[in-house]
Amino acid sequence: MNTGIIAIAAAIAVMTGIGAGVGMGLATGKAAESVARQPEATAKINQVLLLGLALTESTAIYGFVIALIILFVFGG
Amino acid sequence: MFEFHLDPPRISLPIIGGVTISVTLLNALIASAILIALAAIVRVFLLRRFTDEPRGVQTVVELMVDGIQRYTDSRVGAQAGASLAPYIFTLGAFVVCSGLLEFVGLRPNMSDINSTLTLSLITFALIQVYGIRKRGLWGRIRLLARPKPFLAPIMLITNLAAPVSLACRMFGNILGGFIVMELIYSVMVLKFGIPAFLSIYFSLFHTLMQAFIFITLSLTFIDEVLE
Repeated sequence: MNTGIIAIAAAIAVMTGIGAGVGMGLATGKAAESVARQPEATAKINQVLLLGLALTESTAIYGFVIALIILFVFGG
Repeated sequence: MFEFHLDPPRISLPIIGGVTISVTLLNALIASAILIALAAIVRVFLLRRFTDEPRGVQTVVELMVDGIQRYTDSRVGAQAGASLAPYIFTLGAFVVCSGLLEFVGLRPNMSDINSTLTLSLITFALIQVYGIRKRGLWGRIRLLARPKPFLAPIMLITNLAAPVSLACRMFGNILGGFIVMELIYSVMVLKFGIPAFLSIYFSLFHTLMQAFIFITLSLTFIDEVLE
C-alpha cells in the first residue's frame, strides 16, 4: 500500500489530541479556579481532577493506539 | 534508522529444552518473582520482629498497607474495601514493579496489550462478582435498566467497554513512553546522559501515574455497581 497515504491516515487518527487538549485545559482551569476559591478543599479537588483528566486523556490515547496500529500493522 | 515492532520480540529460555516466550512475558515473570521474594522476606524475617512502636522497615510496610486500605475504603466503603484492598495492593505493586524493570533494559510488561487486557479482565470479573453479591443476579441485570429501560442496550455497551478502555489506556500510555525512549536511544547525539533525565518522566512518572489511574478507575467501576 502507499506509504504516504498510511502516514496521512495515522496523522488524522492522532487529531483526537486536539479535543483532549482543549478538554484537559478546561478541566484544569476550572480546578485552579475552585482551588483559588476554596483552598481548604485542594486535596478533594485534586482527586476529582486527576480522575477527570484520566478519562479525558483516554480519547487522545485511543487515537494514538489507532495511529500506532495503522503505522505498524498496515505500514509494515 | 529507527526500528520498532508492535509485537514484542521473542527469546528462547534454556529450560525444558528451550521454551520460546515474548520479552514482556519474561518481564512479567521476573516482576512476579521479585514481588514474591519481597513478600517472603517480609513474612519470614521481618514480621516476627514487628513491635507496637514501628521503626525502620516496619514503618514503610505499615504506611503502604495502611495507605492502600484507607484509599480503598474511601472509594468503595469499608465493607467492600476490606476484601478489595489486597487485590488493589497486588495490582499496584505488579504494575509499578514491572514498569520499573524498564530501567534495567527490559521492555515494560504493560507495552503488550495482552498483559493490560488480562489485568482489566480481572477487574471486569470483580465488578460482576461484587455487583451480583450485592444485589443478586437479577438485580445486577436490572441495574442496566437505570435510569431508563430503553437505554439498556447502551448501558450494556458501556459496561462491556470498561475493560477495553482500561486496557487501551494503560497500553497506549506505557507504549507511548517506551517508543519515545527508544526513539531517543536511536539518535546518536542524544544517547549519552540525556535519557537519564527523560526516563524519569517517560518511564517512572508514566508508570506511577498509570498504576494510580488503573487502581482508581477499577475502584470507581466497582463502586458504581455497589451504590
